[in-house]
Amino acid sequence: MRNPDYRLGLSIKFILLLVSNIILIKPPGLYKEVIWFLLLFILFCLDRELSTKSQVRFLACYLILELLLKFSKPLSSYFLVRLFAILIYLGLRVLPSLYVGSNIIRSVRVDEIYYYFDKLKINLSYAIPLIIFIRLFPIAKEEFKELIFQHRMKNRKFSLENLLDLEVSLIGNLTIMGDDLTKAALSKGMGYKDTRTISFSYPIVFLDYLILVIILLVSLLLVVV
Amino acid sequence: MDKTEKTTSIIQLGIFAVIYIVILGINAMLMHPTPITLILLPVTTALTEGIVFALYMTRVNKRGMVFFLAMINALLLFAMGHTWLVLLTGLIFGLIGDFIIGSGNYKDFKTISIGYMIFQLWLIGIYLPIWFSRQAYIADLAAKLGNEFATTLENITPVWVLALLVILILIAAFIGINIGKKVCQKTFKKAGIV
Repeated sequence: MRNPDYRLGLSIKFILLLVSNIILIKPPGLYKEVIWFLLLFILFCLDRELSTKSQVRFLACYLILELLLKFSKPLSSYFLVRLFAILIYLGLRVLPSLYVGSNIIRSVRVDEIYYYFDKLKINLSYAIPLIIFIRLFPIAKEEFKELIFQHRMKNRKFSLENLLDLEVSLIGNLTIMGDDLTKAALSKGMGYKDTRTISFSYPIVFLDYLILVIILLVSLLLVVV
Repeated sequence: MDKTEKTTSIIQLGIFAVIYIVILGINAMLMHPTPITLILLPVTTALTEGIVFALYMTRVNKRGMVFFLAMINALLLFAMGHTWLVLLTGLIFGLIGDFIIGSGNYKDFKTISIGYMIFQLWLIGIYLPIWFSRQAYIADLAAKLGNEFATTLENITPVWVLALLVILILIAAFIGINIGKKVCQKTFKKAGIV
C-alpha cells in the first residue's frame, strides 16, 4: 500500500529529473541561475521526507555555494581554488539531478515500479532488468562508502595496489548483489504477481497542476532560449 | 533463446552497465582537476575497466551484448551533457568490438582482448569535440572552468595528440584486459563469482 503522505507523483518526479538534466546540459547564465534556484526550491519544498528546517538549510547551502563559485572565478589561476570551484560546480549542477534520481529510487518501492510496468503492459523480460539496473545504483553507492570505511579502519594508505584491491572488492560485491537481485526477480520474489485486492488512486490536485505548469514553462524556456 | 535465458542476459547487461558506469565515474572524479589528467581519462578508464570487462565476458555469450554495453554508457554520457559524437563512437566501436569478440564465440581470449581494445575506443567520443569543434568546446570550457584551464587544454592538444591518445588507449586496454584475466582466475574464481 502506498504511503498516504505520498504527494509528488512518479511522473512529476521523472519530469523534474529530466528538467534538472536539461539545466545541467545547458550552460548557465544569470537568469538561468534564478530558474535553477526556483526549481530547487520546488524540489526541496515538496520533499516530504525533509523537515522545513532541513529544507531551509539545504537552500541556504546552495545560495552560499553559488556565491562562493562567483567569488572563486577571479582567483581561478590557483590550482586549489580551481579544484574547489570544480567541486562546488559539481555540487551545484550534478548533485541536484542525482538527488532527484535517488529520491525517485528511495521513495518508490520495487513492487510499486513492478506494478506500474505491469499496468503499462511492458514485457517483464525488459522490466526486471530495468528495475535491477535502477536499484543497483544506490547499492553501489553504499557499497563504495562501506569499502572506503573498511579501508580507513585498517589504516591503509591510498596506493595504486590498494586502489586495485578496492576496485576488485567493489566489482566482486556488486556482481554478487546483482546476482542476488536476479535470483529474487526470477523466482518471482520481487513485486506482486497476483491481482491486487486493494489499490488506491490519488486525484491530481491544484498543487500538482501548479508544479506541472511551472516545470513545463521552465523546460520550454530552457529548450527554446 | 528461451524467455528466462533472454531475461538473464539482459539483467547481466544491466548489472555490468552499472558497474562500468561506477568505475568510469570514480575515474572521472580522480582525473578531472588538471587539463593533462582530464585528457588521460579514457586511458585510465581502459586500464581499470579491464577487470569489469573480463568478468562480463565470463557471464555473457550472446551477440550484441558488447554493443549494448557501449550504447547504454554512451547514452548515459550523452544525457549528462556530452555531444552526439559519443553516441557515434559508441555505435561504431561497440559494433566492431562485438563483431570481433563474437567471432571467437565470446570464449577465445585473443579475440576478447582485441575486441576490448577496439571497444574502449568509444570513450574517445568524449574528447572528439576538442578537435572537431575546437573553438566552441574551448569557449564552453572557459565559461565553466576558467580561461587558464581552457587555454592549457588548447595548448596541449594539437591534432597529433588524438593519434597518441588512440595508441595509449589501445595499450592501456591491452594491459587492463590482461589484469582482468588474472583477477578473474585468481580472485573471482576463488570467490565463486566466475
